[in-house]
Amino acid sequence: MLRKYSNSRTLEDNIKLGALTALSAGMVNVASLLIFFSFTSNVTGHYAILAAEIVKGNWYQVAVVMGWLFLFFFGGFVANLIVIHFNKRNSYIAHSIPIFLEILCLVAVGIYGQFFYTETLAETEMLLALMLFAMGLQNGLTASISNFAVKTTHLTGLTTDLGVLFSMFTKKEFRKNPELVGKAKLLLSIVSSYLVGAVFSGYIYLYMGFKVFYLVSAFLFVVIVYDWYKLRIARYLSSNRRKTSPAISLDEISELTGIRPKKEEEVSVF
Amino acid sequence: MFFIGFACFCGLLIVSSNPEKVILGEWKEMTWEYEIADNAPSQNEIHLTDELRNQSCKNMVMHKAETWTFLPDGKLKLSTQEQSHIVDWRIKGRGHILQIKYNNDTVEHYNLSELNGNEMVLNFEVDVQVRGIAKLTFKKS
Repeated sequence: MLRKYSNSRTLEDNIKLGALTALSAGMVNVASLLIFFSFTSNVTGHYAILAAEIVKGNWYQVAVVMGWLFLFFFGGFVANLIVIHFNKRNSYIAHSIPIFLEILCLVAVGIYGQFFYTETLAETEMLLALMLFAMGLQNGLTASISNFAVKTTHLTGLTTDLGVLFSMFTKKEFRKNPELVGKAKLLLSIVSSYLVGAVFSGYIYLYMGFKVFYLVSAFLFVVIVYDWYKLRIARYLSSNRRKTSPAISLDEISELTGIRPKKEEEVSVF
Repeated sequence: MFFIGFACFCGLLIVSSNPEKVILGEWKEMTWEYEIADNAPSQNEIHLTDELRNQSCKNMVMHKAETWTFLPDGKLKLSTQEQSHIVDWRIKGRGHILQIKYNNDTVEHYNLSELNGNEMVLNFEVDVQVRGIAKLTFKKS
């Protein structure tokens, strides 16, 4: 899910990544609405609220919403900064760090909410700010590594794309286009996962309260571990093959690692 | 650019007032109105009689208190001429939601439409009989 970058990603990679991250985004968004009465990934709404508060002259709210918007932006900034600077060294590590940071943010919200939260306005705003940063990280990472094919909290654009795609499917030539069909599958899987996550979060919040953020972190942990597990399998297989035969095929290496080495290079797997 | 943005942010926080501080003090309930109602004869504000107000909100906590005193420790004193009792208050969201929690765990949420040194306007949705948005207006004592 995380190893591959941009054009070397397959539809399956994007669907897996999109579905799992959309699930967590839906869960976080509904949990934040129920607990704090404010969305975390509805950035369009925040811009509208910012305009409304400016008109009303509520400068405190203007400052708060501006801070939230900035932190979402900063999350995307940090995610892509990490990807572009570390991608060449190790793409898996570069793509995992933003998710790891997101997990840290959500776990921090869960722990603070469960043990220290006294429901003051300042605490509410800080926790929301942290969650907006986390959502920015997630959206920035998924957009960056999927070449903007996957954006798990940008449902406005996603719904627009779905509308456009379905109108295109009224023509047979587009219905038979595998790229368009693949894109529709990807977008539908993101929307469905987001909804499932949102509904699930709405139910379990009643029983778990702030612990719901630990559950979200667990889903994100699966995203990180999934690729790490596959890498371990690849290493194990390659070390076994070295005992029986000195080299493995380039196709097998690229399949396992997502790296396409040049044919004349001596290949080694990790 | 970051520095300019950060300076604007700090400036806004300095010139503005934290709602949790503005709300402190004694507020007298002035009016109880419907802003928008499904069954209203017109879309203008309508004033309700006490009887209609009681009927519309029979499943809610009815605020017969005329004076609301917000204390700094998160306590709210609701008082009439006959009696008073203490509940908990909190401000949520971006400072636009007022939450009131009663001793029997009933929780109410109001939209803080307006809050300044003189006036406080609370809105909440009423969904019984006459569906609409009720508006409570308070003046600071």
